[in-house]
Amino acid sequence: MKNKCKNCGYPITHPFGIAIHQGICSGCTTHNEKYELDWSNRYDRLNEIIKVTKNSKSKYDCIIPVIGDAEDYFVVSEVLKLKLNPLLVSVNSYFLNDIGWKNLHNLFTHFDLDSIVYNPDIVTYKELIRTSLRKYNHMLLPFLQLHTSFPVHYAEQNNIPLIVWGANQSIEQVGKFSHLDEVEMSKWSRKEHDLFNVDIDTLIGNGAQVNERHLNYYYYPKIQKLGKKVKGIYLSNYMPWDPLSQNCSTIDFGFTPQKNNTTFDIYERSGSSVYYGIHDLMKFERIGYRKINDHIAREIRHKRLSFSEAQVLFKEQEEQKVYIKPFFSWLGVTDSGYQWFLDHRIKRSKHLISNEPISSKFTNQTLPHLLKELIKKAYDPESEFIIYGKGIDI
Amino acid sequence: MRKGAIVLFKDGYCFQSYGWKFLRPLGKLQNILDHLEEYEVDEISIIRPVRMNDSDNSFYSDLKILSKLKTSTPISFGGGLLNYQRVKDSRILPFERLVFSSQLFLNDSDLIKKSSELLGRQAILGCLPFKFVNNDLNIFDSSENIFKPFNNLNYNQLDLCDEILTYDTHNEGFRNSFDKRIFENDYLKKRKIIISGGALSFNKYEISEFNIASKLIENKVLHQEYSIKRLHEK
Repeated sequence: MKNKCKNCGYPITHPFGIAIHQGICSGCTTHNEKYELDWSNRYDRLNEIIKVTKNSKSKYDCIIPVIGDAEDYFVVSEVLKLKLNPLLVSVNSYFLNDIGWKNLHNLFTHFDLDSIVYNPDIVTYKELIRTSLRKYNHMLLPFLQLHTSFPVHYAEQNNIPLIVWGANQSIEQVGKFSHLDEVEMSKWSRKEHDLFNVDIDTLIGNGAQVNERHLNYYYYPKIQKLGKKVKGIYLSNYMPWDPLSQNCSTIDFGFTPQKNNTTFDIYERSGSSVYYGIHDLMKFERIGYRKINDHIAREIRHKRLSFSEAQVLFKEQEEQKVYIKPFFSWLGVTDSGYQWFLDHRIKRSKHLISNEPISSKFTNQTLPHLLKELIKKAYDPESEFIIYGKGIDI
Repeated sequence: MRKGAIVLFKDGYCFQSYGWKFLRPLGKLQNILDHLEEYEVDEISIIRPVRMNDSDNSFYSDLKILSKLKTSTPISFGGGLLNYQRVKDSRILPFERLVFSSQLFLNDSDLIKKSSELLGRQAILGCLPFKFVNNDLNIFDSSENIFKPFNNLNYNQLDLCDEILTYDTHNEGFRNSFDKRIFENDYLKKRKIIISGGALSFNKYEISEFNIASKLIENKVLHQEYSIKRLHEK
């Protein structure tokens, strides 16, 4: 127990860092602010901040970086309530399945907003993923580098003064800051939290076979150049953030949840071919726990799960297997390369790898009452790793 | 007035402290220093927030990490400088000044004097974590983990310090607050002061009147891009 929070069970191995005081983690302590703060005042504060951007001469008041996730639907709906005119900016991860693409396109059309989708050079992108896997057992780093920098470049180049993000994960998960700190997007925070201290320079080192000319958007813009021109805020600092309940409400906007075996949360990263597969497996390799732990801790804090109910749920899902072969095929790794990876890079999660596709047995029937109410009907994807955009399959 | 930052570092990791009672994690020290350098801070103070719980093991493993830091910003270091051996061993660090706190209470220690002889008086900073209790100034003695009246300090030790870092423990981690009653203290009126804990801005008149040599921002320095400038511009 010494290495876990006695309230939510979060382990201290969280990559963002976590502090435990008298047995309770910083995540739980900060979460309790949600019941103590005057959120009406916080919302007034948000209105004050956006006043500045409303007066700018730009065509768009702000950028919302999106991936087609349920949280994006919620953020867009909240930004529209604030009477801002947003531009939706997306980076193609090349990991979306049919549900993911449907969700992304529906986001653009349902809210009838302008959008741009950046398709990174796929040869460079795949080489960076191979390098990231080889060096850090992490396959999302190249996408995260682009997702957290391209919208900032675009804002800077087009004089759009504000970027609106949804949750600040370092606050939501480990309570790294108080909501009152009003932490904003920054180059430091991006490297420390979004990139786990691996920026593009560190990633490529001297091993990646990439042309540096293709890496521009993987770098964060120079902060001297950004100056006070672009500010990035997190909505979760100004409203009591409740991901599951918010995400559930986005079904009304046409969002499609996806079934999966490894967690009860059908909303977060619905439509991804990798998030609960290879990415979850690598997370377990690196830090010793899976996404289900994040979701359980979150639901305990929101009082929808008791600690004992959480134990049962955890036991049901912690040993669920994943089928990762299609990811390696997409990456262009040969069968022998795949076998080498399993033999040399997978140390503690071999038992979690399935040799054949897994059909989802998802059901909300066994979930505790309060959770069950928010877990609605979910769907199976028909096709994974859909190449969209330039349509080039290499 | 110099504009700097204060970073709490222990067991290989940096923390933020709120109101002297609650720690939140912050991040990796090198990444923090890299960004503070980019923000062009004038100086950085790295403090190990140790109380009665320090050990040689913890001190020297922190020292090992600190010795590998890459930065060109002037650094001061404190927290755990309890004996001359530790002071001598700290010379391997890329730092310019050492910060003493609990030693300032002692009558029978010549550690600050010997350190001053070893490194020069300009390299010695005294740190006074303070709070007011019923209008009386109290200073935290980390060796006993309690606040003591200001008069318990040994003025001879304080006199050996080039500058005094006054750290408002009540307001640390919070915005726009710093207990200015500290400047009413007769001894401190005569000294060059560094202020930290809370982020109240001071006007030019106050900076001159209170002899403020430097202001070190704690947690908030990384909460927004270029907050070091924003916080000083208020």
